[in-house]
Amino acid sequence: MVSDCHTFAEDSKEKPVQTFPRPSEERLYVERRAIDASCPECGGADIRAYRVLSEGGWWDAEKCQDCLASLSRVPAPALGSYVPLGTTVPAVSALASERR
Amino acid sequence: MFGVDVGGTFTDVVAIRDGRVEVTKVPSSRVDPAGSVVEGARRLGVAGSPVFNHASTMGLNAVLERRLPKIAFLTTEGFRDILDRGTIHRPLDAQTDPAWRRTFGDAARPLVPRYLRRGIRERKTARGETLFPLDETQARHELEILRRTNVEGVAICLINAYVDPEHELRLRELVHEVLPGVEVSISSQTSPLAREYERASTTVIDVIMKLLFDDYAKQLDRELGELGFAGQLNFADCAANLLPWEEALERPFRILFAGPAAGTVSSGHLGQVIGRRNILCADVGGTSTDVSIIVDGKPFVQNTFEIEHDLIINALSTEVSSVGAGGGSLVTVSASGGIAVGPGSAGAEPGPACYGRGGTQPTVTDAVLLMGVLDPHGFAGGEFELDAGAAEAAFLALDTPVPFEERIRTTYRLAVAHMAEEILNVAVRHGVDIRDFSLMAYGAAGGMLLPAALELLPLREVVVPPNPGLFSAIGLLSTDQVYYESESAYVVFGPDSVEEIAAVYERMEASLRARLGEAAAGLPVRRSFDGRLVGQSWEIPFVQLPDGPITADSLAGVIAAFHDAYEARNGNRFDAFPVEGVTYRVEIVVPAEKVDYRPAPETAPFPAAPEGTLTLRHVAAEPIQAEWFSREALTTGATVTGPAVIRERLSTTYIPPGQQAVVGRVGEIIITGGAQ
Repeated sequence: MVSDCHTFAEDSKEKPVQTFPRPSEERLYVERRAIDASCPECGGADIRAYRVLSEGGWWDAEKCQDCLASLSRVPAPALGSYVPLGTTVPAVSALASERR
Repeated sequence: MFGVDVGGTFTDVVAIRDGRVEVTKVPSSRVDPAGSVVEGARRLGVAGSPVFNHASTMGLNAVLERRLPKIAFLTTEGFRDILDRGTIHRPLDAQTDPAWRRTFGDAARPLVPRYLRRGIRERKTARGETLFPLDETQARHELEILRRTNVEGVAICLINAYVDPEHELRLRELVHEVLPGVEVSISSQTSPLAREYERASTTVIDVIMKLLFDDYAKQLDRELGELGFAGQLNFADCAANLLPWEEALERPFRILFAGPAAGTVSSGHLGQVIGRRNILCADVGGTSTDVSIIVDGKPFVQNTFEIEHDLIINALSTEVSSVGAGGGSLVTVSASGGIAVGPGSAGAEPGPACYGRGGTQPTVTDAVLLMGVLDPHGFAGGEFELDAGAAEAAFLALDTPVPFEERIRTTYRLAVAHMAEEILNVAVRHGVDIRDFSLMAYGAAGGMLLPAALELLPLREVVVPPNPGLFSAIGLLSTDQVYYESESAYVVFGPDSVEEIAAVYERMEASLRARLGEAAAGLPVRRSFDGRLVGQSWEIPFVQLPDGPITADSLAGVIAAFHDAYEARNGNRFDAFPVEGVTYRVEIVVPAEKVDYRPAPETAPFPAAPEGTLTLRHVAAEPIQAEWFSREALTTGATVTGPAVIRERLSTTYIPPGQQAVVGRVGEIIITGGAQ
């Protein structure tokens, strides 16, 4: 996923506090990973995998970029790309499990 | 005359010749659905019949089970998810359930997958002005994508197209150009009414029905012709009105749900003959009981119809409520250890345990067999024997502390109570006094179960019609051809709007008469509208307009008629509020040949002669003796006192203790007693 950030630099005329460079992209896009397959609906060859937000929450989908048919669609984590810190640190998540 | 009711399991074919009813049942075929109908017609000899009236659940079942052709949906850019969102209404029991999803939504089973719903760059305003012209280049690009996906049909519903269809008409031309041979329905012709969601869902169903029925109807017409049939092939619509098959296929969404309405029409027709104008109709089938109402001789018709929750079709339809209680309803043990009946059903296969086809769970039919009401040797015209041992074993196998006798008695009483509750609900919803109403009990199990409802409801009487098991199919021979046009325009009624309203009706009447040609000559046009008080969102449907030209005076009468209709529905009136018309309708009724009930002369009541006696068990604390009668032998004026059983080839009527039955002038059984 391509990251972006807002620095407030133009608003405050102060020196940015971030340590990474200002992004050059105008807009934020989800990265669409190319898949080696062809579309069973329209025969298109441009198939990409990416996460979409639709009815029912987040989905990891593989979609034809010509007709937008989904070749595969499986539920993704409920919070999308956000992963709570507690679930990534083994000691913390083990502690949370014990308390439950 | 032929009436054919194509169900999911069986196709019922009824022929009436010289007042005599002949019937055959053919297994319905998914592979060759027309073949079953033709086979039934061949068995009964269709040559020489003037009409062949047809109702089918094929389209409805295909939609419910999503066995659908591949279709696309084109709408104004930015609106392609209108099919997914519906009207946003949630059912009452899902108000607080965050996991609830629409059955036809993208996360469930959409009618059109999202990638086949494409936005077209264009926009008409609500006044019909062009805000953005149709972008033909972009439209062609979208159609090229659809061409590669091999869609079989295209539904087009552009925003505000009901006001000005220009863009839809042009888009249809483009579809024909890019996708030759593909079926197309456009909303401005299918259902030119306000509210884009209902218009869109109706248009989608329309193109699906075209694809399902086009070849079917042509095959039917051709093969019936080969059998010597030269009469009129009609399809019944959702209000059981008849349409010649070519007319029906112009806008086939109207024939989606024809079966249940036919029973209501049949009740109305018989009611007219026997002098009953207020009728509650109950069709007791294997899985459910369908309840409808006739007030003052008229079935309650609504202007929309819901296939699933919030999946709405703009079709005139008879209001039918269902409850999951019928002859095949399963008997189970509740969480507290008691007996529960329905809503699950044993269906046709394996059927009740007593059918001996592998069913092991007890059903209502098993209970009635063990009570001694059903004849194990003469069931369904003697087609198969009922196995009382299997029924008993099924009841004994229930894991409950309830004694065996009580299991059977409770099953019977609960089934009747479920049906009575739904009948009462329908009456209450319509604000009628149930004491003024007769209950028409039909379906093969109607006469067997519903007379007992008299012990729970203060109905005037229960009427079991002749041939109750075929009564719905006979309804297809009890109705007229009805043609209608409708159109939407938001107009506040008053002296300034007379010309505009008159123009709408004149336009629709001219279009309808042009469609019908000579067939409409000399027939009156009935006009009605759906209107509301200014500021409201929901309309009062079917407010009638008087005959003659629309003038300021007659419009004042129409406004008064609206307030009367409003008061009849809502219990209050607001004469000071202006009235706004939304949907306008014209209708021409072409009389069709109907089943002819020939009333016998009035006869003084006399006791009927029984065929024998039988023992009824589980009805009271001890077994009781009852007489049984053959319906074929009962003539006008014959009286029967309960407990008694009246048997006929395809049905059984059970008259509980304390009730009396008398045979009416056309062979109907009128049962009184109980709670009146």
